[in-house]
Amino acid sequence: MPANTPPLKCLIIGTPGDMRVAGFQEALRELGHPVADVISYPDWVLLSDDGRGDRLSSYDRVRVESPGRDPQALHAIRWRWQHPNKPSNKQPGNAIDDPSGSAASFFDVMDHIILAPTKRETVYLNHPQGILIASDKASTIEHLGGRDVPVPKQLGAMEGPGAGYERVRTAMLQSGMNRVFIKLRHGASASGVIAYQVSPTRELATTTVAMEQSSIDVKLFNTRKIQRYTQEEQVRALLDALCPLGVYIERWVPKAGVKNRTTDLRVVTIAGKARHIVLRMSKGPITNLHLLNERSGPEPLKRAMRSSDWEALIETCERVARCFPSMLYLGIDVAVHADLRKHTVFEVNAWGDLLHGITDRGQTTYEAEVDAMADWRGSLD
Amino acid sequence: MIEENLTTFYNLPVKDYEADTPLTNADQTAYRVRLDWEQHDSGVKFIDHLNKLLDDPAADQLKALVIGDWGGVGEGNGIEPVIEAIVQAKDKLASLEAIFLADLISEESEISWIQQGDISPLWPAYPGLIEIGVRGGEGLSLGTLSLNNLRKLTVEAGGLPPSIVNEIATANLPNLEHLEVWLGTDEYGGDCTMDDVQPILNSTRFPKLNYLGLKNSVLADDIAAAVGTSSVIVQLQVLDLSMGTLRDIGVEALAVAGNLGHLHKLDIHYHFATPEALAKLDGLGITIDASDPQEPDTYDDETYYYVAVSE
Repeated sequence: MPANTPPLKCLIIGTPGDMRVAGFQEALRELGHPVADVISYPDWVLLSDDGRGDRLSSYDRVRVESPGRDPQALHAIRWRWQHPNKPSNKQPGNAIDDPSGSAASFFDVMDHIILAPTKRETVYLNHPQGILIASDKASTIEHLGGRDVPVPKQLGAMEGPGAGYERVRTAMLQSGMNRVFIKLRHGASASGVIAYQVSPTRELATTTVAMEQSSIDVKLFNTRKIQRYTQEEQVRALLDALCPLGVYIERWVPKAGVKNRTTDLRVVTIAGKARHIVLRMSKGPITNLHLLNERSGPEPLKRAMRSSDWEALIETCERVARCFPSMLYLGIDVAVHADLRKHTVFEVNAWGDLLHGITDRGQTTYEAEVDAMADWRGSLD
Repeated sequence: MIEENLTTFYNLPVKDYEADTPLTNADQTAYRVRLDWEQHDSGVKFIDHLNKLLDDPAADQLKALVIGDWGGVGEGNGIEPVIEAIVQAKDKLASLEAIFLADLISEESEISWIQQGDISPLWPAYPGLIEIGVRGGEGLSLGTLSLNNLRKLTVEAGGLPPSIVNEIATANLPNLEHLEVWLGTDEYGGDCTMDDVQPILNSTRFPKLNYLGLKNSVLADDIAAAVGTSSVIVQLQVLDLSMGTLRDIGVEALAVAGNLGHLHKLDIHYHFATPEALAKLDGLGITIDASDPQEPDTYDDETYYYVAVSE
């Protein structure tokens, strides 16, 4: 720890012992700060308003961590405010259930953090307000697009009964877009993503969403394996099941290829600077990290580009960070176009800093965040 | 899938043409004309973009031209207007020796969705062509191919119909050295049978042929079985059966073909053969590329073998 940096006592709202919390604790230790106190989401939601206020007021820095996949945390978030008396609706494994319920509850949790009566101003490493915007992908696009960040052209959002194949095809026809990405509005990255293309005579939906069709309904599952649906009735079943959950649709932006793989980038900004960068390479249009696609440092792509175009991409990412002044760190998904010139930002991840084994200037993402947190104040827009 | 644009063509580095920017080193660069998706969305016309290149004073030094995404390719915008424009420009492209049509990556269009067309008008306009590359078999017609100087012909597709293979087999290309054909799969229009392929395997029309690629094919095992009695093999330095559904039975046929010992290289990368079968090729004493082994897919007790590039 640099001299003149007082030790900072941190609170983490998260899942004790999971990789994210452990990673941050390790970084605190490395840089000479005391161990952070950790409160789990199930415990957090049981506190009274005053309890929350007291808790937040007692710490120098507060880190609102992802609940991860901890079922108890998700359960607590999903049910605490919306349905306090309803029994838990356990879904198997990777089922895509109605996320709107969990999204609304998640927003409630964030709101209750924000609204907790505190005795002094809480310094969040990542403000729940910023987390809320980042977690609603359609809102993010709107937020960034209005601030001069290149984002994909939006066809719009849809949800509820009536959202499905017919409306998607009509919207595509009316806007002249024959290649689109359809994404769950509130899903995690790569949950419920479809790369969909149509021509006058055929269609192809490429996705990680698998379907289990019974006579009653269609159940959707996230998988790690790419599914390709070419029959209208399959695509119809897929979109009719997915769209009502709340999706947004955007133009499919053709991405650059390197080593015969389709590429995009995860850029982590910390204190406004582009720091850790991962190049994701995949066969096909779905590049997301957690699909175990290949990843490396950005050199293979950077080498193929003009340096001015690469610098412009970095500048865009830092501009994106400035659009979220309340977030010390942000994971930005950005792709260079097929002709290796310009780029487009697709989404931001409030918890996109979990990058195994990636260092920048000798620091992991967590170490860089801890290093920056002494000077960090953050501000709402 | 093809996910990276050409970086070299005709042994020249490929460079994207930028509108209103002069050509530089025109005789040592393979210029590619393409529309970025933003240009297409904002109404830029490919033909206008191409015409800017054609009007460049150095266009008459261009030896190699690559046609990239011309916009709306998957929506039914065929290549024929582009062919027409290139034909009309024959006096401007006075030095053209090599042309590649439809260098599109899967992010721009699936290969089997590329609307190719009748490209035969190019031949009388550019009779001195030395290299031709084409991507996409749908709607493709080569017409009567009679080109005295042609040394290299590559046709990439997810599926090529018998008509194309026939056009190639009956072509008049006395100086052809490199013939590469992606036969593909019948799911995507590649419904050739061995009857269609035999004329190439036993061709006497290409006396200078030293590379033969019958690639990306569901017929890989059958072709391998026919190799031993195919008269063209003796001419070759390289036989390429890569990217297809070659299995043990095909590899074993190659092992006993008896006429491969003179080859510089046998390329069977992307295959479904076992190490045990591949070991039988060691006796050939030639360089073999058997990299990128594949596992078939199984659903409901059925096993599916896929060629490398289909959709």
